[in-house]
Amino acid sequence: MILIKLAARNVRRNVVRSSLSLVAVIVGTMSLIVGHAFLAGLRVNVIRSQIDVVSGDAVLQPLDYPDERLTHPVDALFTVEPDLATWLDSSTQAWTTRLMFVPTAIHGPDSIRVRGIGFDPARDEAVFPRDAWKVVGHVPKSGAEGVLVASSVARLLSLHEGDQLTMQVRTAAGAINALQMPVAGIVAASNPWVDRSAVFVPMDLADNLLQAHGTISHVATRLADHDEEAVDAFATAFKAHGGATREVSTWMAQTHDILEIDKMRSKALNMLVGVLMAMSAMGIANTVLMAAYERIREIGTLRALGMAESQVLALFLTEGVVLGVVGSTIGCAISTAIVMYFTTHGIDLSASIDRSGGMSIPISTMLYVAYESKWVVLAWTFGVGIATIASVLPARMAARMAPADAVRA
Amino acid sequence: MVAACQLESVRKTYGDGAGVVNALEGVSLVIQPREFTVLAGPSGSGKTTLLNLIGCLDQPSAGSVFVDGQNTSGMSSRQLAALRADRIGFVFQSFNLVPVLTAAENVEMALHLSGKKWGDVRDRARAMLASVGLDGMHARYPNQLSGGQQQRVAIARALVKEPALVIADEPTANLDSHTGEEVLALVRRLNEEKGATFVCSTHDAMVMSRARRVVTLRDGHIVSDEERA
Repeated sequence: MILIKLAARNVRRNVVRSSLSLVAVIVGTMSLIVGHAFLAGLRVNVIRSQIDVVSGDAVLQPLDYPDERLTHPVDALFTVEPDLATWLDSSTQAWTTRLMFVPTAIHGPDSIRVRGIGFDPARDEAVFPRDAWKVVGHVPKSGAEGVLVASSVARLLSLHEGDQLTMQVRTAAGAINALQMPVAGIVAASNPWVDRSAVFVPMDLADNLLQAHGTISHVATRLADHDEEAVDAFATAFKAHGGATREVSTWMAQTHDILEIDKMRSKALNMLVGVLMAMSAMGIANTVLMAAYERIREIGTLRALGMAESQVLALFLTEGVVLGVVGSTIGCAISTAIVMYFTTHGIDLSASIDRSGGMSIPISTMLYVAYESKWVVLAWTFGVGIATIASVLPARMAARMAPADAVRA
Repeated sequence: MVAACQLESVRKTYGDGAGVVNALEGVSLVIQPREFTVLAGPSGSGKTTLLNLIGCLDQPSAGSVFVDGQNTSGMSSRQLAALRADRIGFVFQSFNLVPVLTAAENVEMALHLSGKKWGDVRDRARAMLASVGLDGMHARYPNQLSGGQQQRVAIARALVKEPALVIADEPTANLDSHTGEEVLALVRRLNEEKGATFVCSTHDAMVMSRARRVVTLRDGHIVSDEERA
C-alpha cells in the first residue's frame, strides 16, 4: 500500500513531464477507440445502406448481371413464377420486384442518363424502408401519378413537382421508346446511390416504357435476420428456387469490395495506433528513466532503509503503471463520450460526398459511429500494458543501483 | 553479550590492477550495545567506507563483518536489505527524507519496510516524532521543515524500529552550530534513554567532544581508539 501511495505521489511530483506522458497514452487509446468506432460506423453504414436501399438481404437477378454502376441491361428479364412467389412469402419477411434500367431523362433542353427503378408500390417499402426519405410531393402509387425523381436529378434538370419529365429508353426488344410522365415528387434519401441518379417509376409505367410485358430484372428480399450465416443459408435455397438462368447475390457479395477496403483501412489504423503507442511507450520510458536519475539519492535512502531490489523495481514499475492506468482510463472515458455522442447525433457527410463528384455508392450521408466495447477494453489493456513494458528497463536500472553510491549521490 | 557490531581483519579495495585503491586495510573493531562511538579522521581516511560496511550497504573485499551477531559476509543483496530493514537505522548528512511523504509517513516507511508487526504504525510514528520534539508536525512535508527538524525526523525514522545499530554519517554537517548542538543532544539523550547504539562519522570537534569513544582512522587504518568519560 505504501508503495502505491509513494508511486502515485511520485507521478504527481513532476506534473508537466507526467502530463506529457499521459497525453501520449490518452492520444494512443483515443485513436484506437474513436478510429475503430468510425470505421465500424462506416461498415455498418455501408451494410445497412446496401440492405435498406439497394438489394435487401439477397436479390435474385439474371445470370452474370453486371455490378458496374449505371449498367442495368434489360435483355434477360424474367417473371416470378407462382411457386417462387409462394416460397418467398413463406421464407422472407418481405419481398418485392424491381425493374432496373438506364433511361435518358429529358426536361426542356437538358438530358442526363439516370438509374430507372421500376418498383412495386404495394411491396417496395416493406423491403426498402423509407425512414430517411424526405419527399417533396408524394411517392406515386401507380404509373398514372407519375414518377419520383431524386434530388440531384431534379436539380440538374431543373425539375419541380408537377413538371413533365420525358424518359427515353431502349426497350427489352431493342427498340427506342419514350414517354412523358409527371413528376409526382422529389426525394432526398440521404444516400447518393438514390440521390445522384435515381428515378423511381411505378412498375406499370416502367413496364409500359420498356415494353417488358410483366417481366422484371430483380427480386429483392428482406429477412428477419441479417446475419451472414442466415443470409447465406437463405441465398442457397433462394438460388435453388430461383431457376438456372438467375443468380442470387447477397448483401455480403455486393459490399465485398467496399468492406475489403474497410479492412485495409482498419489495418492502416492499427499501424498508426501502433506508432502512437510506441511514442507513448518512449514517453513513459523517458519519464520513468528521468525519475530514476533524478531520485538516485532517494533510491539509495530507500535501499538503506531496507527496501529490496524487487521493491524498488515494483515502485518504479508502479509509477509507469499508474501513468498507463490514468492515461488509458482518461483516454477511454473521453473517447467513449465522443463515440457515444456521434452514435446518437451522427456526422453529416453530405458536403464531402457532394465534393466527391460522381460518387454514387450506397452509403448514408449521415454517418453514425458504432460503439464497440471490445475496443475500449483492448485500448485500456494495451495502454496499461505498453506503460508497464516501457517501465521495465528504467525500473530495473533504478533497482540495481548500488545503495552505498546512491545514498550519497 | 552479543556485540552490536564486530569487524575482523576487514579489507576493502576499489578498482583493480594498477588503479586499485585500498580504502580499508586489516581493520578490526568491536562496538558494544548502547555505545556512542565516533569515527574520526581526515577526508579519504576510510570513515565512509567503514560506515558502509557496518551499515551493510557494502561488503568487504576480505575479512568479516558481524551485525547484531550475524555474519554479513556472503549474504545476498536481499538478505542484506532485510538486515538493514530490521536491525540498522541510518541518519544522513543531507537528511535524505523522501520529499513526497510527510514527516509521519517517512517514519512509517521504516516500520513498513522492517517486516515486523508493529500494531498501529501511525500512532507509533507520531509518538516517535513527539519524542524527538516534533509533536504536531507529523503532517508536514520535508520542505515545510527546517534543517534541524528534518534531521530530527531522520533520527525518528532511524530509531522507530528499535534497531541494533544506528549509523549516522556526519549528522551535524549541514546544520548551524546551535541546531547541530541540539541534534547532538537529542542523539545523546536517545542513546542514554533508549539504549540505542550509535556510530557516527564526523569532522566536527563538538561531536567528538560528546562521544564516549572516538575511533580515528587514517589511510584505511585505525590509528587510535579512545574511551572517554
